[in-house]
Amino acid sequence: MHAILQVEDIEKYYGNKGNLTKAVDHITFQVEKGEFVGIMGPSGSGKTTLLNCVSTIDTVSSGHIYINDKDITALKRNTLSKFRREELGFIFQDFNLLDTLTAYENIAMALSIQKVKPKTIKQRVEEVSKKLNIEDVLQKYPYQMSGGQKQRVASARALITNPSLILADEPTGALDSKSSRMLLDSMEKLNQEYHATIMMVTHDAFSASYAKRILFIKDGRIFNELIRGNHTRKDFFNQIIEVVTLLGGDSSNVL
Amino acid sequence: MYFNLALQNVKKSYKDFLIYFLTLAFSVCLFYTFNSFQAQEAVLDLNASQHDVLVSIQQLIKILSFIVAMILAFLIIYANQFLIKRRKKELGIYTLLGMPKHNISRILIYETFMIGLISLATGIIFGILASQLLSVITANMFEVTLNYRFIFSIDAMIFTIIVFSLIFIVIMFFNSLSLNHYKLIDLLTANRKNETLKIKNIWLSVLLFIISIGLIGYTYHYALSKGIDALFHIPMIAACGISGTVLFFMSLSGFLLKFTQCSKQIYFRKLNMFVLRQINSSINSNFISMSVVCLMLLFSIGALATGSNLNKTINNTIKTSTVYDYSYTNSNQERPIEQIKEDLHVDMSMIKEDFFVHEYEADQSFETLTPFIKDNSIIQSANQMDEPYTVLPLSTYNQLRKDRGLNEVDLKINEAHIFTSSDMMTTIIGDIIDAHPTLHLYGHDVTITNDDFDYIQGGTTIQTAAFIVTVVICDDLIPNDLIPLNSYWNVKLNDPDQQDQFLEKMNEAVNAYQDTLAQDENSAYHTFSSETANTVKENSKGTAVLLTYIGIYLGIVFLIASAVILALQQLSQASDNVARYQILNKIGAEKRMLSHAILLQMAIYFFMPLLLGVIHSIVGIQVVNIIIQVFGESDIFGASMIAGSIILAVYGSYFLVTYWGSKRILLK
Repeated sequence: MHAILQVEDIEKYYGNKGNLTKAVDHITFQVEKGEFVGIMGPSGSGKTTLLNCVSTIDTVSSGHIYINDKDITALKRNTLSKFRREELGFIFQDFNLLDTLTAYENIAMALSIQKVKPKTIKQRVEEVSKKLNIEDVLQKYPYQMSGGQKQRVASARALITNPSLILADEPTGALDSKSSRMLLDSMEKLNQEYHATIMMVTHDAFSASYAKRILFIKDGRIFNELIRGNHTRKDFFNQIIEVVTLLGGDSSNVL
Repeated sequence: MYFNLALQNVKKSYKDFLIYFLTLAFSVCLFYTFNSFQAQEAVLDLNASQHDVLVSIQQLIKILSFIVAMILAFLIIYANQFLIKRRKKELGIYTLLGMPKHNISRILIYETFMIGLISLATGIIFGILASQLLSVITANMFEVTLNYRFIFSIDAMIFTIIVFSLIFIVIMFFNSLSLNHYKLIDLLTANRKNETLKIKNIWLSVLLFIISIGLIGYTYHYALSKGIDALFHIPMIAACGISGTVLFFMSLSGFLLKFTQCSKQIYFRKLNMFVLRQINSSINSNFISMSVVCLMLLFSIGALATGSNLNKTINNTIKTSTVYDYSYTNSNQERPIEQIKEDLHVDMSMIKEDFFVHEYEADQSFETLTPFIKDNSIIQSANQMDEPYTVLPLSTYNQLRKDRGLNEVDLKINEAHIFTSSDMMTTIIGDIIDAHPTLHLYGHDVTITNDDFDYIQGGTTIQTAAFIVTVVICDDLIPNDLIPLNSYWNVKLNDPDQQDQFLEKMNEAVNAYQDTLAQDENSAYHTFSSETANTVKENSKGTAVLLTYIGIYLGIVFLIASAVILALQQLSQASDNVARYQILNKIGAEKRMLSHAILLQMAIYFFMPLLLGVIHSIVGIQVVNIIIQVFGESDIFGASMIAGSIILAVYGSYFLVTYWGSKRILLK
């Protein structure tokens, strides 16, 4: 299989010589096309920094990141935002929908920014909203939607540009358990039926159990790796809980 | 403790307070500058008539200042409300910590007091500086010498302090009022709260938009069709115009949205959709201010255009009304002017040449001329239909023309010329000339033969419209026993510089003569004027200076006020929009694209009111032009260019500053 994302020995330092913090410390991994990878770790483990580096929002101190064989650590600032909007899709914890726009317009906005021909927009929005089951909320404003609906609209916005990689940062963080489940079901569907490549950062074991492979990060290093294989989600969840306990994270992170 | 807290607040968030402070200081400065007007007299070499002008300017400014004070109060309260809005969270935290509401309003009162004090002091200092500059300008306009020394008006300062103290009290009142109004949850989640749309239905706003256009169009039609009578219909015009304008801005964003939504090409192009939604979402807090700004721009453009125009118009009039060094104008039909001249025992040694002008009543009224006139509204509104027009003998007419350097005319016994001295009658005389009618005067038929005419005055007089509609016929046709309606005794002196001495002598003689007449109980009321070229010039110039000053004072106040409102509003809203721009940036919009969106948004906010304001004022100036032509032929185009460039400079720079400021906040 072809590797969409290749992270090679990256480091990210904060601070100065006297007080150096290694947020990311020699991490190497790959994400193949069509994979659903979860990144887990306690607060302060460096998972958000890792995500920021991959999403080109932050720069690495050393090492290389390849997305679709393109070295994004070598890209110039000007080409970065072009790269970001063409190759990456984002799902944020707090949705980041524009409250002044309807769901439809929020999704269409991603295409407008890419300067996609306005004529094709309608068809693509309808297509993606069918995938995510949000056809009936398209004309609603964010304040008229539930958290789960909002997050699925945000997912649709991330998906509509056909990105090589979808990056999800604690997507269920602001949702209740029912909405979380619905969102995760949709993400699973996107991954299985439409072969979207997803990298999801979370510290919630339940959310993580939807992934096919999980990388555990502690103190900036990869601590463990779990592959779901043919296990049921429930088994996989139990395995995750075991690793989380091992990680010795905060007890609140366990449940 | 509360005082210290207030002090800390002002120090810490001085950037937030800066706009508020500037608005205040600026208002104080303007207010002081124009109210200290009369203090200028101390440094200007003014004669009696110029002094009178200055006093009347001062009186007018005093009255206008009440209106200006209201505008400034509105502006300051407005700025203050924005400040409160930005600090909702801070106020929420005070409440959360258990501080009673009256203590919070105490903090706000201290803050208002501090800012007020600083801005009052700053404003007055700058006002004092500005008033020095103003005296130079006044000296220029009056063409008098300036004996420069420092001017300070204690009256103006006290007046300014009283007015602004009142405004501050109102602000404190407003603050406590709005504080009582808020719930704690609203204060803490102020940033997250969406504005609820007043017009939910976009089709409704399309309908309202069409209504507003209709209303505005009707107002234009109504004002223009009333012509000079528009003055008496101001309440109706204002009501229609204001409601049309408010509706226009209330529904504008909804209409624009619907309109562009029809074209997917435009709507989904780059960030257009975002910008339009953005404007639509905040229109509730903006449409009132946009309407106010639009109407203020109307006043501003109108005042600047007419203000800068009047000076020029009146200067033109001066030239045609001051051909003779001295004129005595007599409207006393019992005593012929020749007799009066004898009775005055004039010292003929100073006089180079003199002659008499007699203007006679025709035995026909204006009504006989109306068939030839296309638009009778001016005569009708002046109620002059039954009045006779006037007649001038050819010899006198030629003398008047010669003295103006014009060629003399030759008339056959059955020919006549028609002319006026009043710009207002231009179109009417033009109509009559085109018709070449035959008139029946004193039993003779005469035909109007001239193809054009010159504005000619009977003498040196402050009256600009001495000859309203006057027909020139051969001397022989005028009956010998006819008593003149008006007569002029026009004098050229040996030395034109001796006008003042001559006038003094004449006035002595006239006063003495008046006394003798007063003893004669049978004598009719004696109407006369006794003017030199200088007195006429000063009088006209005084009017010009007065109107110019008022026009420019109000014009600039309105202009700056409107620019400040918009700038303030946009800058304050920029910080509310940071999150939205961050989202756009996160989903991949480039900086260039974002800057364009900001520019588009600012441009709509700034230039929509300007656009409607300009259209309003084009119509407004047309209406004013009909009325103002009483003063003289107006060169509206030139004046509009001047007004336009002032507005573009002031308004445009506010626009740029706001654009840069918002960009700094949104794209940091």
